[in-house]
Amino acid sequence: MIKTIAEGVSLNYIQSKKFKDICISINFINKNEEKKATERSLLAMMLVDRCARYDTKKKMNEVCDHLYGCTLGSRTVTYGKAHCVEIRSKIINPLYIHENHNILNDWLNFISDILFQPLMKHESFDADLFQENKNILMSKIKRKEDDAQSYTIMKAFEIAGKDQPLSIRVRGSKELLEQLQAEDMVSCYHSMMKEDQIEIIVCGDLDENAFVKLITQKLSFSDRKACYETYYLLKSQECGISREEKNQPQTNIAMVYATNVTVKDADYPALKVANGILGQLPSSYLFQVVREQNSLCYSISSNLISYDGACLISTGIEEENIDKTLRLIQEQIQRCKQGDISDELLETTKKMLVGALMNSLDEMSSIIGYQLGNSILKRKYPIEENIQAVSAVTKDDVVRVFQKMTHVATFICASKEKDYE
Amino acid sequence: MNKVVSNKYQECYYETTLDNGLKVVIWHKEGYEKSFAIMATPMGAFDVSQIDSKGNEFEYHSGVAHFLEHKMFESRHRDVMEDFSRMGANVNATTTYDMTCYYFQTSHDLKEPLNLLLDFTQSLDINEKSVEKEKGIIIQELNMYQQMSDFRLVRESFAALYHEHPLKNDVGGTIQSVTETTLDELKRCFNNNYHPHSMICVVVTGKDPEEVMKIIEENQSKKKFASINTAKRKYVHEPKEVVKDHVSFEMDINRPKVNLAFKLDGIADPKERCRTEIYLRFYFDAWFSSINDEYQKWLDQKIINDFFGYEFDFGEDYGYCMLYSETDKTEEFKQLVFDQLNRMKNTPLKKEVFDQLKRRYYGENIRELNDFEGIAITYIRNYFNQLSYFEIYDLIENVTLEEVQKVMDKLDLSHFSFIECLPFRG
Repeated sequence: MIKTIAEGVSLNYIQSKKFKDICISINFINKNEEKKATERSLLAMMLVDRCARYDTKKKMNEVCDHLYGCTLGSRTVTYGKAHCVEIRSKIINPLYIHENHNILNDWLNFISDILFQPLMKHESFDADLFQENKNILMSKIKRKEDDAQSYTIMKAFEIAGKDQPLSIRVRGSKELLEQLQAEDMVSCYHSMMKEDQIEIIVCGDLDENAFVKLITQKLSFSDRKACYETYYLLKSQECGISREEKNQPQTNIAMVYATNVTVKDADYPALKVANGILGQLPSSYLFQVVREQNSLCYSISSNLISYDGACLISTGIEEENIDKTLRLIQEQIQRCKQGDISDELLETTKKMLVGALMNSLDEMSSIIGYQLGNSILKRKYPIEENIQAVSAVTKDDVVRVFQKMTHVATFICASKEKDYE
Repeated sequence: MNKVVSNKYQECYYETTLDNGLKVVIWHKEGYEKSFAIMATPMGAFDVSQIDSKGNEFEYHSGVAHFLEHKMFESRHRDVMEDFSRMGANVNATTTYDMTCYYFQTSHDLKEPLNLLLDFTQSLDINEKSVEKEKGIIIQELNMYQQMSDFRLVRESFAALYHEHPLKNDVGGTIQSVTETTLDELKRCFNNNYHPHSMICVVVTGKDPEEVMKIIEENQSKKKFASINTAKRKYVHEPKEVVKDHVSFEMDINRPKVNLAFKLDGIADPKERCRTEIYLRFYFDAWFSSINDEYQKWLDQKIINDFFGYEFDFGEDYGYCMLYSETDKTEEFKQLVFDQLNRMKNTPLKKEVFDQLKRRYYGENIRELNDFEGIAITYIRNYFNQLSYFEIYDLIENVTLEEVQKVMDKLDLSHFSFIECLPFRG
């Protein structure tokens, strides 16, 4: 059931008897810009850390544990041109509680407190709350850079997506974070609450009407005119190969391709199959040739960055094998463009992708993620229809999307020293 | 087939032991399309030295269990990974210190991949050339972990704590041990540890349990297994003292990561081991998480950040606990942990905190039952420790404050090592 609870705010309730708990996912969607991404990442952390009613972590813990260890978390995700703050909470189904306790009511009160009564005094966020989370966000950003593989991918996105959303890191930038003041967060908060497109998704086994009524009552969002663009196509401009050296035992490679197929394009199912043939599965060419036949790496994969119209290939190898690896990867793409794809590989890949779609009906986070995708793209696209579309993909379709793919940028983070063992 | 029903958790599973010794569990998840199946042997990275019932001793290179895991997927007649993909099943494997698991998940037909799982984990088909070829892949895997600072921190901690115990080495071994591993060694390792007698098969599925059991029974009845003298892990003598009380190393990172690691005694009795871990969790959660009001101060003073955490683990012949963080204030961190541990040891756990945590753990247990893989792994881990699945749940639900409080008397924190992973200087 999908219900509009205020203009620009929709509630999607998915009834399922499979799970032992109830999940609510509240998604705030706005433009994906570097400053916004930075502020909103910080705000997402601050909101779930403490609030006016429960103004210490200890009190927050107490209320969660009173609700049998209900989970509460936030994260930020990008959908191409859109930036999304997700607040998610899970609680066990009242079926498993053997005391007279209206936990659903208490739970929604708690979520309402977090969203509508943040820890503010005189229209300003608590200074300690701001500073602590700023420190932690900075640590998270830096730690991500410490991870050689993530660092390599971020650099590749930065180069390939110059002046485009792909170059924006989901947590924003260190420099902008450094400059943020507590006052910035107040306007960010109000903007998020009043201007964002909001998608609420609930999944579990409850009395649907009663629960929808309860949510509508507890989460009283105001009307808003919200319409944000999401998917776009990464520009097909050749940026060549860039290289950096780091003191680490492995050389990491990240390659970005423009797919020239949007997530809503009729060719998108074919692109998913193409990615499966190239590098998403153990049966894929990259895994079979680079790892199994040539023992060059442990892991190698290709992934679609669907909302940006991009495809990422990444792997970790020995420094001396850079040229050979790059050549082999390019050869695999070339053979796909030329139609060197057996019927068996095509069928295997489709079966795996269909399996993954079927599997997502059995996992709560996948059900929620799939519904959110549909809401963001403003479409009704049941999984069954998606399965049909993937099943109908032909070799010609796959070759056609491969031919549309163009190389944009490669970033190599090479191992500098060999003094590790 | 023995049926176990839990009305309280609304779960049901079937268990049996086949004539050939294979333990089989079918956990029925009604209403689901998907199935998760796993085959496991208790042979893991701890097993570098084994002894069979006749007293024959076997020595292996460090990382042999993990090497074997890689090679199990090989067959002259088929490509196991590709075959699973063709069936629409996702296959994978994991080696830990105490077991090796092979598993797949599918929402398509279960019969074909389940037969394949049983077949490929019960035969070894490798040669000199394929063993050599695998070495390059495994070495890249070791390198991948070596470049992760959190992984290195734990690795160096174990190396600082243990003289002899296999924990001193990575699950995958070292570049040298991998390079030196031989075909014969892998074969011996397989023969000693992959007999149905040693293994367990767990299937968590929405499909009819009797049908699933039939598939397994039919598969197994067709096979013959040579009788073997099951080999068991040989325990080494490990001194109480640590190898080094301080280790410092550098990596290409932004901020130091530190770990204060304590070497504890092993606990021979599995039930006692499990109880100790539960009791300690109450204490550590009470003292080292935001339940403790002082936690906020540590964050504000930047002695810890969101990387801060703790863990402990016990086996028959080892035990450890470690507390780690990312921090520029490494000395303050060390002092803080010592002070808190000291207070923890000398202060009884508060009743209200105990009750609060009990509610939390109850909710966690309920939620764990959504997770097919989690159910299977927990079942197996408990089985290898001679515990039943819901025994642990009941243990947590029925535990008393007095029992929990006794755990502190036994906690000996006198052997420790401080490990620092620092950014490169200069």
